[in-house]
Amino acid sequence: MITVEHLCKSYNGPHGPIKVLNDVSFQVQRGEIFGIYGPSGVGKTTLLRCLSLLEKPDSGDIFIAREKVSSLAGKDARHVRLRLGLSVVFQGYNLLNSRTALGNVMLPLEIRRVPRAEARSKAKELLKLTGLGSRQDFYPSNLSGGEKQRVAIARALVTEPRVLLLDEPTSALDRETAISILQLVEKLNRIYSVTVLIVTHQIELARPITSRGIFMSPNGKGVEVKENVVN
Amino acid sequence: MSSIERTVALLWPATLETFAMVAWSLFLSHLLGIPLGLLLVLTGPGGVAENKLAYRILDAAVNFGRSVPFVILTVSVVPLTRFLTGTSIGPVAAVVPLTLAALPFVARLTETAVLTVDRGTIEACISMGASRFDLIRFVFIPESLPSLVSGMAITAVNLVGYSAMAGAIGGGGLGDLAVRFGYQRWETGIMLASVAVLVAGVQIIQLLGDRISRRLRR
Ligand SMILES: Nc1ncnc2c1ncn2[C@@H]1O[C@H](COP(=O)(O)OP(=O)(O)OP(=O)(O)O)[C@@H](O)[C@H]1O
Ligand SMILES: [Mg+2]
Repeated sequence: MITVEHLCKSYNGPHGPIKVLNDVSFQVQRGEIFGIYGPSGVGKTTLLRCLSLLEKPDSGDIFIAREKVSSLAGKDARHVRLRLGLSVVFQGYNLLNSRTALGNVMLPLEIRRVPRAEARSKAKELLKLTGLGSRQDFYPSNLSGGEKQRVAIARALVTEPRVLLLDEPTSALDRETAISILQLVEKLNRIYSVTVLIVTHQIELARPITSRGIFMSPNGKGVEVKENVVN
Repeated sequence: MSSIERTVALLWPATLETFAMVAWSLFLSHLLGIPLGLLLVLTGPGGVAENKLAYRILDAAVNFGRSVPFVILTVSVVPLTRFLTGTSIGPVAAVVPLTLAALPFVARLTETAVLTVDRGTIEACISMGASRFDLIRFVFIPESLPSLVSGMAITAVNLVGYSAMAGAIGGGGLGDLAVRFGYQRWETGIMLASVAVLVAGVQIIQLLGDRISRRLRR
């Protein structure tokens, strides 16, 4: 489903370019839950940003459903996101402060021009599934960190994505809630065979649901990737 | 006619004129200035439709507009004012230079307000498949609305000041009244009364702007 080949990406730091991804390659099968692990600052978010077409790699290729997506930007990237059903949960949640929890979850449906009533009931359903039924009319500023994170997860799931990119989706949650969220992801994965890439520090929590993964480790030049280290 | 009655009889229509001048030019300058501000954001550095040339032109035009002194602007747009309103004096005519003076200011305030919207929030919406138009509709305007409202109050206060100046060169309104009676005839009472109404107006605008902005800030 997803193929990453020799991916390289550097950023312009204050003292010249920093090589973050240095020849990263791996494959994710359709319907797999794939883990991405590694210490802080190693480039996990950067990798997900490339996969969600928010960042263009310097070199290397990304294929999603056999389509080469790594060089797309603007309108082309938008069409691919919609067509391939890409959905992202960001490390920083990135909720809209001007919208309630419900409004935030409805947004991707509004963007897809889903009729309002339908969008509303779907969004409510997802908020219930993530345990936030009673918080639907709260604005992000009145939600706890974990609640915001669950709104972000509900927002990513509401479109029934085919590819789900999760950046530390349970970092702000207690063990029990984290497990229930991961079980929800697994359930969706089982029922709809959603392909899931999950970045997480909580390896022991993710282990039961992930089939394979990569460990990204910093080395002199950048990042070295070992496959299948976890299972 | 008592002197109070006379003052009121003079002040009331002038107040209405000033209110109408400010309200119309506030509305029109936002109608044109907000899209211009959004265009600055879209084409500006790091914008979703980044375009160096377009930005440079718009940016320079806005700076130019903001640097022309109001009196000179008023005089130099007289032909346009005549064309649009059929006259070059009076409160209706004054709306044209007032709008033109506020427009670049509104564009800049809009740009500044929208630029404070969190980059991550914008990217989240892009990742959902939002088009540029979606971004404007769902993110740029709603997310910066509290700042836009604060900016609107600032613009309105500036317009009250400008409208007084427009009055002095034949625009009517409270500024006109203050100059005619205070400066030309030394009727200090009328002058003080019109200044008092202007001061009260500015206070009310600022109070309303702060209230609404705060209520919108979630
Ligand atoms: N926009 C940017 N400009 C410059 N450097 C950046 C930028 N974004 C990330 N970096 C750098 O790239 C490196 C990798 O960042 P990234 O966010 O991908 O790490 P991460 O693995 O997700 O870390 P964490 O687990 O802490 O979230 C970091 O050293 C960071 O400083
Ligand atoms: Mg990260």
